[in-house]
Amino acid sequence: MNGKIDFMSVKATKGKTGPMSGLRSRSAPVIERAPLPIIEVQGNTHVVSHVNSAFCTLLGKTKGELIGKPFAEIVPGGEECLPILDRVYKTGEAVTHAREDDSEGNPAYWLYAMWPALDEDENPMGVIIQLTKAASFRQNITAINEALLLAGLRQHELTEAAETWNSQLQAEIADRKLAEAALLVAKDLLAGQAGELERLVVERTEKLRETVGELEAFSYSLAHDMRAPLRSMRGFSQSLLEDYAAALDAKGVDLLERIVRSSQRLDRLIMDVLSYSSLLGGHIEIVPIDLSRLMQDILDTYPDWQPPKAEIRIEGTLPKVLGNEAFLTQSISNLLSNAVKFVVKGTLPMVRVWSETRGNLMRLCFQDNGIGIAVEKHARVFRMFERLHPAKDYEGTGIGLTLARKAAERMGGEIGFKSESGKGSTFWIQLKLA
Amino acid sequence: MTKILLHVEDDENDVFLFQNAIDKAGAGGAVRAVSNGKMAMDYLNGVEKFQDRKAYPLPAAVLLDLKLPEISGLEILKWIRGEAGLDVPVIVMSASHHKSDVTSAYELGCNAYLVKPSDPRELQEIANMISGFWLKLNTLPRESTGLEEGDDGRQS
Repeated sequence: MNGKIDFMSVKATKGKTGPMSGLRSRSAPVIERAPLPIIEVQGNTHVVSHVNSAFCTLLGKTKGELIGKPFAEIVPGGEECLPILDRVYKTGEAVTHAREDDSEGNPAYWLYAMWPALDEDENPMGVIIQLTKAASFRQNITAINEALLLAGLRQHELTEAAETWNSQLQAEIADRKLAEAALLVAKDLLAGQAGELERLVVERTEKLRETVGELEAFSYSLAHDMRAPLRSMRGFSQSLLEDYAAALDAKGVDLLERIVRSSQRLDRLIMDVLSYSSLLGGHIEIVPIDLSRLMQDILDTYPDWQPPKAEIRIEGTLPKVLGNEAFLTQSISNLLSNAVKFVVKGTLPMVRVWSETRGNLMRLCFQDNGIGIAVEKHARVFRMFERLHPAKDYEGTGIGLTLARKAAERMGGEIGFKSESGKGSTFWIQLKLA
Repeated sequence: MTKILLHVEDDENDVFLFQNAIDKAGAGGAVRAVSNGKMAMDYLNGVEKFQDRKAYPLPAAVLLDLKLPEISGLEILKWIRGEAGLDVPVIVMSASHHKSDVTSAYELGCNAYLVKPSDPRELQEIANMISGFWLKLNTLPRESTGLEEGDDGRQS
């Protein structure tokens, strides 16, 4: 079928026409067969000249009820269409019109497609209207539309969210990249600083070693250089005392004697400073030392510690310890010297020496029968040049215990004591067993 | 003939005090003092100022300080035993008791090493002993009787 219908060639045929067959419809055959509701009106009053079955079904009316009636009367919303009908009738234009109808509760959607019906001379003689009610359509379309709208909205939301997320992520990524870059920089810096630090440590250690060496050399030469004139002073004062005492009165002799004693004291102080500074620096060798042998050597060296001047008794065998011979000798000598010195005048000093083992440590203990140390003075005992008694009672510079403790510490050990005034003292030196 | 002690020392106080002590030890005129290495070498060589061996006899012992100007005591000791080839007893007397000094002195051929005492009484003891031992008891090679062969078959 080529789809083109030549209205002009369509003749009125025998068909179902209504009672008012005066309204002849040329288009009737075509209209009749159309599956969609079509209505034809004629004349400028737009009187219904033909309706097809579909139209009747749509309106729920028979042909008889519709033909001959005015368009506006039978067609819902027909009045609206009248102006348009006029236009189509007059101009021959085809027009479509749509109308919403909410009257039946279910929103309906009426579509009017209107085109002219022409007579033999091709003059408009009426209008053909194709009517479509799209109730269900509309619902569906509305629903679909709404769904689409919602989907659209949702999509819009999702898109927006996605975009927000995206820009957030982008920002995060950018941040992370920055952080990574910063981290790399920091790593480099750290490595650089670690290297710098190490270099500094090496440098400082070297400097420290140098300084310690210099200090040692300094204090050594200082002590020596100071002892030279001191030697002279002592020599001359002693000479004066010996050779010229006769020419002096008692006071003169006393003055001289004081000079002699002061010089002696100064010399001892210098020696103590020398001893102490020699304990501070340098690398010390730690080796196993036989305490029994060492103690015996020390006792042999000091006649003042032998009977009848003093009684020093070693109880039991003394173990081998880890230490340094010179430092240990210094420590022990100072402890023994104190033990023997600080007794009530006229008392025979008696010292007990023994060792106690505690695990891998050993304590060498010295218990004396001396004057003891008052509890409130305990804190001052190890201080440098700190004396607990006046020089006239007991001589000394107050460095003995300081030296002893320093020496012990440098060997990785400790010195401690237990003492009460009038009850003697027990000093101990703790070292690792060999 | 009194035996002479050559005292090599630049500190005049030390010289004075030692002289004092030697006097008290009863060896009054026995010390000849020089204050530096050059003079010590001249004395031992018997040259310059010290040509008169009557006034400046060869010493029976040398008391040598280590800390001297220009030429050190150890250098002088080295010279005495080396170039000069003298076997005169050398007693080093130094303020230093540093292990390195003591070892070097003995390696270079000293006969004794004394640390200068701070206590003047100890100095007196040293003077007494030096006088008693080195200036009286000790026999020097040049004093021994020279037997070529004979008596006990020993050479001088």
